[in-house]
Amino acid sequence: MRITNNMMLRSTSSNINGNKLNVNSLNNQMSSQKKIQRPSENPVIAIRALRFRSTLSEIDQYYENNIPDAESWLEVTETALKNMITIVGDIRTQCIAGANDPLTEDDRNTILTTLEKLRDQVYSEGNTDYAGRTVFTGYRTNQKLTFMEDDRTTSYNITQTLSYEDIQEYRYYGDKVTVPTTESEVLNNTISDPKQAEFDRIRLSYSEIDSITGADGTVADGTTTASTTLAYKDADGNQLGTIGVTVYDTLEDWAAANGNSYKIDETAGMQSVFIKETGELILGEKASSELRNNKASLDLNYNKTGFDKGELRPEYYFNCTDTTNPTDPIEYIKYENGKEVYQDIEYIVAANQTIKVNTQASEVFDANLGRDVDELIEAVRFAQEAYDKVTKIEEMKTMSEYSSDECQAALESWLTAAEKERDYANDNMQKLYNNYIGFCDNYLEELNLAKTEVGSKGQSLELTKNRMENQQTTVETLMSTNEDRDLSEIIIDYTSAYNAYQASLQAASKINQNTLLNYI
Amino acid sequence: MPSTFFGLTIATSGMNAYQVALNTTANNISNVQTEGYTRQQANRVASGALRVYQKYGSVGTGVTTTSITQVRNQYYDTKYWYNQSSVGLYETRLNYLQQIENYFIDDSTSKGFSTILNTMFNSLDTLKNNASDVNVRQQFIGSAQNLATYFNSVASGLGEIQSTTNDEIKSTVMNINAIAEKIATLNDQINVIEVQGGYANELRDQRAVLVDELSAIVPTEVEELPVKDSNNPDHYTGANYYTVKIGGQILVNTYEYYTLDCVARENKVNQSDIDGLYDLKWSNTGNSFHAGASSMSGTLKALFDIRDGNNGENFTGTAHVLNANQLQVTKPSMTTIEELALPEKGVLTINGRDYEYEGFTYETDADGNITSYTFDLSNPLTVQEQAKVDNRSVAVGTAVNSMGIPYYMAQMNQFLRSFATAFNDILHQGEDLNGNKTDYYAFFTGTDKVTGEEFTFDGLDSNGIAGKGSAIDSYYKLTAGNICVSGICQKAPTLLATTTSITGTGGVDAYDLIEKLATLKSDVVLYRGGTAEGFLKCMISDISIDTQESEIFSKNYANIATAIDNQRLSVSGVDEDEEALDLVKFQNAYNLSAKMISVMAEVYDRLILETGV
Repeated sequence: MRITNNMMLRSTSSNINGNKLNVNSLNNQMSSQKKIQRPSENPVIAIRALRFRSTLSEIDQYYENNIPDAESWLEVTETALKNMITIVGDIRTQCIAGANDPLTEDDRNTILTTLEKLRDQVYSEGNTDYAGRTVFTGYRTNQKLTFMEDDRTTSYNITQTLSYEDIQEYRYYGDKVTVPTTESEVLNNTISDPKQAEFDRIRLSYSEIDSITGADGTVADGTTTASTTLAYKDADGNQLGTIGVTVYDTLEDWAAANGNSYKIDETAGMQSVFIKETGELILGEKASSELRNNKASLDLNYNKTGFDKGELRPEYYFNCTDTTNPTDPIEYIKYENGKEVYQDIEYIVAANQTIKVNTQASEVFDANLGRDVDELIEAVRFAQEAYDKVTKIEEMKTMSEYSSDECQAALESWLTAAEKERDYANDNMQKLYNNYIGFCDNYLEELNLAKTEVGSKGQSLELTKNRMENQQTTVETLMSTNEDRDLSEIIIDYTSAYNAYQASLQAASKINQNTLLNYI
Repeated sequence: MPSTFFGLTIATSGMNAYQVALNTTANNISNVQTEGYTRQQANRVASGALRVYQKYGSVGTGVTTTSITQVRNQYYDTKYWYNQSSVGLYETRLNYLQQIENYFIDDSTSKGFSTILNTMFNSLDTLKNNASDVNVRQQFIGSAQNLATYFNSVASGLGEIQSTTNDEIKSTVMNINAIAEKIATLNDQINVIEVQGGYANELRDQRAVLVDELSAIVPTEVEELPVKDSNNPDHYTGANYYTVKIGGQILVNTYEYYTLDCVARENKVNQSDIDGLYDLKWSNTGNSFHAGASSMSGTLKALFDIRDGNNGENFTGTAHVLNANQLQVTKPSMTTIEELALPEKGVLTINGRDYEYEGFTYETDADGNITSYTFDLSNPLTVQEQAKVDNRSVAVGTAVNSMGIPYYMAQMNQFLRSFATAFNDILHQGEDLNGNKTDYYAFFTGTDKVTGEEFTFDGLDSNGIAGKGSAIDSYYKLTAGNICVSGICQKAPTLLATTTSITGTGGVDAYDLIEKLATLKSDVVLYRGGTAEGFLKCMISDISIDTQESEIFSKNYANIATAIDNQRLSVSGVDEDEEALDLVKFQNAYNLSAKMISVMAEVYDRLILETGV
């Protein structure tokens, strides 16, 4: 084949260009340390890299965002539960102290004030927040668990399910002594005869109720409509029958309506009494045993306006409707088809692994706790008052204005009555103290269980965190193996490519330096 | 007995001949670096012998230069021109494919689709954990807008490429026209020279360079036939017919040449096409020149492939005449709203004839698949036309079997429509932070080019009447170019729905909808049997395979071109050593001839001055 100088030049230049391409590609590799610069150079690497990056970005999200966030949630929850345990523990201590009567009046007063203080704190832990989000309120993190101020305008319509298990025996005291203050009162006032009555009752979670709604939709408020009926059902939700209910404003009204004594007349069928002030459904014997025998429950729908500071907001415990603004009622659903609706906040902490970070108030803060403490305080106060009455009458006996024989004889009767009341009150208080030690134990058990659960979640989260850390490293390594080139390897290749390039330049400089023309 | 002075004449002929040879060499050397120059050689023959009526018969009369010709082998030219169109095709394709590829790169340095999608879904996960936090909502909305912006920028980038190719088509066509004109002129000049005897070497070189250039643009065939004297068929006149065909159609017919016109389309062929794409037509006949046809090749075909390539997925079906103004198309090739790439107004091609339509509606079956389309024609059909059209196959645009801009646009639209539909449908079930329903706006929406209003995809036309078709506010309107996150949501992040009910069973931090949205990343099949995550993988494999192929073929054809060119140069190139050798040879020959004259002078001197004096 005939070769011309130009052909040699052309092939030299194309060779130089080829070498330059190599040098350029290796230079790119060296400066980026990546195997490929564009997907088309090696689609397999490019697509695999996408997958790794996607996995890594997910792991980063778990490891760097979700897990630390979840840890904080759990920590905050655990601290709140610990505080709560301390509070309930304190209440229990007071109960034990109280149960160990006789105590001096001062001691009783101390217990009373301590209990009152603790009562204020009982639910405040439920308002704990993490970064502005209340942790015990499910999805409603923008609201607190309790009312933060005394609120006289807010009204709710609440449906509370009362189970036969909630039936408690409870003592009611009537005809309390009113200490006379003048001689004529001593002589002329009827000396009351304190009475003790024991009934089965179911206590609502709230007191100061406006009205209740019966099975037939009758709204009974004790003034315009006094009575209605309540339907009860078995565990499967089959309706079994109805119980009559009469609504009274206070216990006194109930007594007044029944000839100054607590009575439920069940001759015409099962009956009960609802006291608005205390929020109690007091059951007749028949009604009580019917509910117990059938393991029945009943849905009590009631309206309540006005809440005290520290009271639980009903939406975290019951199906209810906020009717403060009657034109725009807000409905809250806690139970759907008899099942509790859980507002679980779950964080994804690893691929296909979630962790529930929140604990709902209804799981740990028993709605009865506050009411229990209230009743205890009430009982202590009652005992205190009864004690005061006795002291007062004893004092009166020594006073000159009551020195007449008549007076003294009357005061003696007053004293007997007051002493009877004091004995009842003391007995009741002792009984409650003992009961409440048991209740506190139950509450503590619940709380401890919840705390353990949160703690063990924290531990499993720790394990997941370690695993994610490892996975992060693994994926990063895999990614690097996939797309990165070892620098030393590139340098070797680069050096040889560069040498080839230099050689081709050298060759080009020699070629065509001389032609035959130079020699003629 | 010849003339006494005959020797002088013979020597002179030698001097003349080598003078010419030396000149030719000089010409060769001077043109050693001239593009397209073919080496020339002076052809010499011994002059006709003289009968001198002597015993020894005839006497040689020296040398004659008969011609100066090019050393060129037409075979290599043909081969070169044939190969050149493939070189042009793949080189141009590679260039543009790499530009397209740039938009789909996603690595540590340039943040592409996957990175943006991952960020968006990570923000979504963060939102799941903090559903009520307005800042986190804003962050998620921002990251969703980033995704939309990414597609906007890719769409406008691809549109830019489409526009560039369109411009390049215009300049390329102008180049073809210029070449055609020049070749025709050269044909004339060459024939003028050659009909008088002789060779127009330099002009032929110029013409060959033009054909070299042309052959890279379009497949070029050249035919050169001698012009015979019609009275005397054996007599060669010296002139030649020179025909250049591009893509099988005549561009230059010796002295005549034809030009191509770029005619801007009045109607789009694909929904996402830019305005004013050119179609090529012959200026004289007005017939179309299909430079993008599958039989074509060269730079021009590459440009058309990139500009119009729809992977063979243009709209087709069977036409049925409903009435003079309406045409129904059944068995359509596009059966879902997602893949629908029909322009709102366009041209139906039936049986080679174009029928303009100004809108369409479609009918769906129980599964929501489109079973037929009804087109509203701009001009009513005559009875004859109706007969011609009925039951014929109909097409919009042509099937260009290459993955070009329209293909990638359609793919993006298809993905985005599926993704946006799934996304919006989930969010429509929800309530915003204020407890209001969010079904009155679409989260992923687009803006109407004309009115600037956001789409709600409610399936209503401008009069609020429900329907299906081009005039309806449906996902058909959503494209990669106009997708965005609803301004309603961007302005007020609280209006984003995260749950089906804020009150009732839920709360501000309820996240049931977010959980559903999260499945859209990798659990729900959205696009080409894959998930959202898989979209870029599909795109990358499409573009990479194409780019790789072009790269390989471009290299191969360039290598073949080099080989053929080398063979061509091997025959017709100027070699300096050879020319130097010629120089020595011819100089020697010239010197010898000159010496001959002085020898003859001595001979005559002896004879005339000294003999018999």
